[in-house]
Amino acid sequence: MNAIDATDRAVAEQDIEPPSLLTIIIDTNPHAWALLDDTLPLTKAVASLLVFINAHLAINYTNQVAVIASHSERAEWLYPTDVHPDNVQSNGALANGRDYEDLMDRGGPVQPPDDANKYRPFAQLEHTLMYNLRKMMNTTTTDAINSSPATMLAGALTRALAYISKQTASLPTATSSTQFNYSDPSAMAGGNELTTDPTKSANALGLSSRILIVSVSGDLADRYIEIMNCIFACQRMSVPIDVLKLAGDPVFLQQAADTTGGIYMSLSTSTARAGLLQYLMFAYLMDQTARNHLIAPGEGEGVDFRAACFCHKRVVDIGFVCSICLSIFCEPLPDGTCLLCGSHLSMTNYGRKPVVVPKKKVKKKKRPTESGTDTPASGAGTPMPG
Amino acid sequence: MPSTRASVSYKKKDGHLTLSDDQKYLFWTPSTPANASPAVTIPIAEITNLQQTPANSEKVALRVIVKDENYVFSFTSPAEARKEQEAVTEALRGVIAAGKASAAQQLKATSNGADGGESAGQSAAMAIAKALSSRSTDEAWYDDNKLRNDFQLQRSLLQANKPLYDRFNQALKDKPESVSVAQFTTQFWSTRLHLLRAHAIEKAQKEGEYNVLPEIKYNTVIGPDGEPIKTLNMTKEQVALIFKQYPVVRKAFNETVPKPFADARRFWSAFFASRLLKKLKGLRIEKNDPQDPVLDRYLEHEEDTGPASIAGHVPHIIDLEGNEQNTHFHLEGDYEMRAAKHDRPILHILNSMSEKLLSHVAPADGEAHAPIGMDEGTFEQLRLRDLAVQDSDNRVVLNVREQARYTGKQDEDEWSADAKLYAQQDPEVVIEDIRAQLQPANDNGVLRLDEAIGFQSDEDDDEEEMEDGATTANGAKPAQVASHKSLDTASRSILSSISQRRSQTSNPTSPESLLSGLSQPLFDTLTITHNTTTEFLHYFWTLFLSGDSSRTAELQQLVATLDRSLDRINAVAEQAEEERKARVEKMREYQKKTGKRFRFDEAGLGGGKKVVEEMVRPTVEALKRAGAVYRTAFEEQSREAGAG
Repeated sequence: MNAIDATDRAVAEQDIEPPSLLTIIIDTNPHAWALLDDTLPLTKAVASLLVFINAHLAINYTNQVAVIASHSERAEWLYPTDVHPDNVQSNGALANGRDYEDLMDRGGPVQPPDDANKYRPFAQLEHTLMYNLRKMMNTTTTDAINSSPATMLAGALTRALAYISKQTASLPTATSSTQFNYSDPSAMAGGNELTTDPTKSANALGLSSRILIVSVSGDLADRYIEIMNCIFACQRMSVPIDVLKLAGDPVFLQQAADTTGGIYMSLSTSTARAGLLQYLMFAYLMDQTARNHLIAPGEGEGVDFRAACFCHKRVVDIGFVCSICLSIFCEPLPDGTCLLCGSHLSMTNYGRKPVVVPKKKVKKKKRPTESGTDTPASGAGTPMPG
Repeated sequence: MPSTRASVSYKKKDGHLTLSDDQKYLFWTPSTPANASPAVTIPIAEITNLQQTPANSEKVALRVIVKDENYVFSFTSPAEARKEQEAVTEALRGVIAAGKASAAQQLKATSNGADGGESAGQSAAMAIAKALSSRSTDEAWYDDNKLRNDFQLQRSLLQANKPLYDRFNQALKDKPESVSVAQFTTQFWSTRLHLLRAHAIEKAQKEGEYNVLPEIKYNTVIGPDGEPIKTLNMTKEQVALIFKQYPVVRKAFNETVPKPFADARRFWSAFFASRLLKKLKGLRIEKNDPQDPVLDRYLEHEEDTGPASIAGHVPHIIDLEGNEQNTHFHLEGDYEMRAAKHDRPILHILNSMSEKLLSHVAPADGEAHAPIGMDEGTFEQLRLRDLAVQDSDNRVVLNVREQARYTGKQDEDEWSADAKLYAQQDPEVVIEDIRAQLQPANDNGVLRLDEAIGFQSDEDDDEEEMEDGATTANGAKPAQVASHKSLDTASRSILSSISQRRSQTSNPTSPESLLSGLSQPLFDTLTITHNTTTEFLHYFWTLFLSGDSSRTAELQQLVATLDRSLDRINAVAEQAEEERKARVEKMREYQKKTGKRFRFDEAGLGGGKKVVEEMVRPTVEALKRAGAVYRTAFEEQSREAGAG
């Protein structure tokens, strides 16, 4: 009889799976998809994603999903549409012709056609997503996609994070003290145990969120600082970033997955890309609760930890770091002033042009005495402020 | 050369001073006999200091200091003594400056030897009649040069840190001959200054004060006559501490020791039996405690409060007394917390003792001259922060300035491979294609997902290609999206990555998996080889990038050493291969002997050359790269040198 008393119930409550928010960022760079057209056209990829989303929603009735397009020149919501999120549920009342037209014009949520063969929420999501995607492509100009080879991943990540924060805040969590005070510098400095352990979700019983980036293009270095900020924000919020790389240069995204404890997989061959659906369902479907008990797939070794410099946005192996604010530069600054914090920096005699052949004739007769006394001793010559 | 010739007298003998033609030596030649060979030869590179007599003095002399010796030349020319002296000094100055520029390293060594390890940055030779300014030693551990030259400290750190010691010794053993021990040590420590600094600070720390009186106890020994003899052991430091902590004892000692107590021993034995001691320790003084007419005088002595009593600084919010006075409620705290109970002597003693101990320590959290009471900062600290609703946003906004200057102009050469591919495409076509694809398949806009993803549950692998050929435009395709085959491939690749991950995570601490089949001694050899190699790579890059033309020979040697490192690694690999062969052989023999036919997994045995190579692959890459970079630079510059 004691087995069914109150204590057991309290324990059982802990085992309830928390609702999970899956935020998908799909890279819709038209150029990149055009290159993939032979092996994996955008429509098939989106269809696979839809199956994946449906699976996610079907696992737990409290699960939520959000889809953001990271387009050539902007980041765009695909689902839920940000105009009237409430109408998604209630627009049965708006189903008369005029309102429907209005909504179509405004780009608001649209009424999916009735179909007895499809679970209504699935149809709803699918319709909104396809509608928004179509609309976005129709409004894309050729200038826009030619202006930059990159995709607005930083913007999309920011939107995703904002949405996650909003959803987390609106959901009454069991552990209310998990809100992290970002503006308090002392909280930043120390090891706040809530946030330092990436395996332990900060919101143990609240909403557990994750981000999945389906990426097809590289060239992220232009927005290096913004992307890294997003990655570290995700790390603090215990939001893993899963990355599925279909094409392009993997730098930074691999770091994103590694830093936040997400899964990184790269489908570089056309055979691998053809199995997209299986990759999604097999590797990316489990939420954080499940991941604690499973061994995650993915390429864990050989993470590309290179950084982009702040001055030319080049990806660098060896760079120069400001000793005050830790900004990265690919070459010594011309005026010796840090671009970020304005500290005056000076270099010891490191990084000079190598001289390997002894000079027979010294062309410069005299070198200034002061520099002559410097010892070329330290490779770790710290640029000193001053 | 008339400009650098001067008539001088040296040790009261007339002669003249000349500078050699190659400007490397300073000669003094006596004037008699004629054509005498130079009696004094001073290598200019070794001159550490020049001193001259003041400009307005009648006597004109130049003192040349070389290491420990110095030479005084008096200028004897009746008319132009001063001018000649200036000319010689000027010439020497020029030569020394030029010499220093090209041979900074060598000069540094000598100058350091000369003026006792003073900072190398100081231009030693040219400080004419300089006053030796001593540096404050307080900042010693912030000064890189000081740390670099402090051999005592380095030795002590090496002794404290075994792995570092091993690494140092191994690297020292393998270093190229051309690199001197001093150069090597400088290089070795230059990348480890932080360790030295930490060690220096660690060593500089000392224990704080403690309450000394209770620490001094009687040792009771049973004497030969069966009577217990009490002995007292005190150290010099303890006496000093007693005097420091109890000014009254110092006072008593000063006033009583020559008379009436004959010496310190008598004083202390009297003191440790006296009532004064009991009072100082906060013990109750009993009636039958022995009285001491001399020391009891000090019982009533009121001590001055400590120099920096913290009492005045207690903020009201945590001040016990303040609470009683300033609040309505009565604080019913613990026994010791009540102000009324504070007449217990032991509590007073303990409190004042703690205060005293603290007052001798430099405060870490404020200065003694700070205003009494609470300032704004303290209040902010003590405020009950968790009750506050919101903190104001006090982040520092950092902006990258003048970014446009760098990123604005981008050449086509700098485009990534992706961007180049994109540029070949016609944006019109791209957009149109995508738009067309996205058009709904049928009128009502419902997407049949099962069709859209192209998966057909009952298809056969044979039929697959024919059927799917109809749905997509291009005929021959390497892999069909969501076909059975591709899904299987995907499953397999995921499973293999999972099992790979599992092998990494399952028992990361077990030694076998870490060694992957190598024996422990072999693994240790490999580790130390790797360590030394890394050390030399450090050295190489530092030297290579220093742009110091005077050290090219050293650099060349270093490259040879790097090549040898490669040989060393290969040797370890060969050793591992032999070890593996021996193990396989043993297995075979065992198989033959027992006659049992079992299959042993040769691949699962691990070890061997392959494993070693896998382990040190990054190191080998780094070595190759260093060598390649050097060779490229060498060829380029040789060509330039040949051309120029």
